[in-house]
Amino acid sequence: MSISPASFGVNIRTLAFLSVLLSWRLVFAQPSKGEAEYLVPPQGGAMEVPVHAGAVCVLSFPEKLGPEALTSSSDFEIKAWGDGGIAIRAAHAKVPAATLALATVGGIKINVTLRVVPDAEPALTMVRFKAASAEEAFEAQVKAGVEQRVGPIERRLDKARKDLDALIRQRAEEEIADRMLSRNEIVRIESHARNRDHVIVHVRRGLLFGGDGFIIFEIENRSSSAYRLASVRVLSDGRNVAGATRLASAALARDPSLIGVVASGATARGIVTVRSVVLKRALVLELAQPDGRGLIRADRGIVLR
Amino acid sequence: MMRPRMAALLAACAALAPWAALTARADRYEATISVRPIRGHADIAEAGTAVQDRVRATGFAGGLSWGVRNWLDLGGELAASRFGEARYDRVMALVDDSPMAGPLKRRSQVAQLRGVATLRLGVAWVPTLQLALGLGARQQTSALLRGWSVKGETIYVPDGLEAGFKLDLVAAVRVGFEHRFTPSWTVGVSAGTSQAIGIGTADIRITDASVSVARVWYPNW
Repeated sequence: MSISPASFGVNIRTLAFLSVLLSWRLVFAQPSKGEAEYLVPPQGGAMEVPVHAGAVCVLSFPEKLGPEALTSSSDFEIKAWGDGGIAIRAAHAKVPAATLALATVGGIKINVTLRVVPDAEPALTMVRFKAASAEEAFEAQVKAGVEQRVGPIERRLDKARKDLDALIRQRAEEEIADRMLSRNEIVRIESHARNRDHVIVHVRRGLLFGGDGFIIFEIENRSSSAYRLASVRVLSDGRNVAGATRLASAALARDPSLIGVVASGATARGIVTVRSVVLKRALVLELAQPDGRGLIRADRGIVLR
Repeated sequence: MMRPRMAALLAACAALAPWAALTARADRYEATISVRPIRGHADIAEAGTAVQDRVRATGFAGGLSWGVRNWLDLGGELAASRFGEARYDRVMALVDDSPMAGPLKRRSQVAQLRGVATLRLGVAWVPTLQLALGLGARQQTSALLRGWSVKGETIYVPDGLEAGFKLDLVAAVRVGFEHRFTPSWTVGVSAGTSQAIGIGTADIRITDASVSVARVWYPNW
């Protein structure tokens, strides 16, 4: 069956009503390449469909179309496509935008604005109209509106975040390079200590890096239970000069207040930063579990020089 | 009487050692200084008789070791023991180049310096297996041979059995069990046997059991 402007009776009231609804935004429920789905409320809706010249676009409706339809231009070829669909095609690229007013047998009124876009721009070849309650349509409309407004902001934020990551990495590399030029020395340390639970800390290496120092230690857990490292202190003349601490361990620390966990029978390596490094002074390394339990105090042989 | 019991103790310790090895962990980087009294017996041989006499052995030993691995200590031990008087019912010896037979008695004491390797097979409760090699110095009194002459009963000092010092090669094995009471102190029991292979003189085998106390620390040198 062929549908043309001449074959449709012009219903002025319906056209006017649909024109009012043109202010409704298009609702893309699941946008994908070449396809779109619109939620249409019971009172009807209007939407714009971009098409490429010469390409066929199928409009699919949730129920059978009524006998009447009206188009504002004869430059679009429009044909019925089954009971609940029509196929449209623009004759050439110069076709101006046109509107197509339709109604289903159930009374849902839809006004479609057909617009020919250049090949470089995205266009649709399949548009599905779904009946929805007013709430659903409104919700989808709000969602689409939010997406339209927030999407670009999020994309800009993502780009800024990526730029920031690159900037941070660059700054860190520059800082590392500066520090390496300033000072980078490995210091041999020989210090060991154990607690009553047979958990042992071995300190055998330090690092002077720029103005800061690092103490590298190993925790050898020979006890029958896991050692839950909660605090690391480096004391110089009674003052804690420890900075950031890390522990590389196979055991996971679920408690965020813990630095790490050393399983029974395992050995884990850790590192603690010594802020504003105190050279040639005896340092004391203290490790402890929560509440100060399982204290290990290495108080001899730790000197960064 | 003591020999079967000592052998049984050694066998029991040897049997426990592989079981303990299943839970072996270590004491790397630690230094240990230990002391132990020696209480046991010695089987002392003498030239001129195939019989060995078993006498009481008492003494003292002290050692210093270093944990080179989590399961291995290396170190040294100085042990000194003195023995009861060894008596032999019938010894053939030369007295002024004349053969003479009769009962003989002699006292000895030894000092031994041993290099020690100790297998440590535990953490808080530590079965140990120790092997040692070293040198020993043996100080002996003059052997006194009782004989008969025209003057009646006479005590002779046989040729070559005069008082003096002799050198020994020493090999020893020891099994034990120690417990760490604190991070710094351990107490243990052990039993062992050592063989002093005499250079130019008869051997001495010492078998003893002892209780040891050790101070353990990280020297951080």
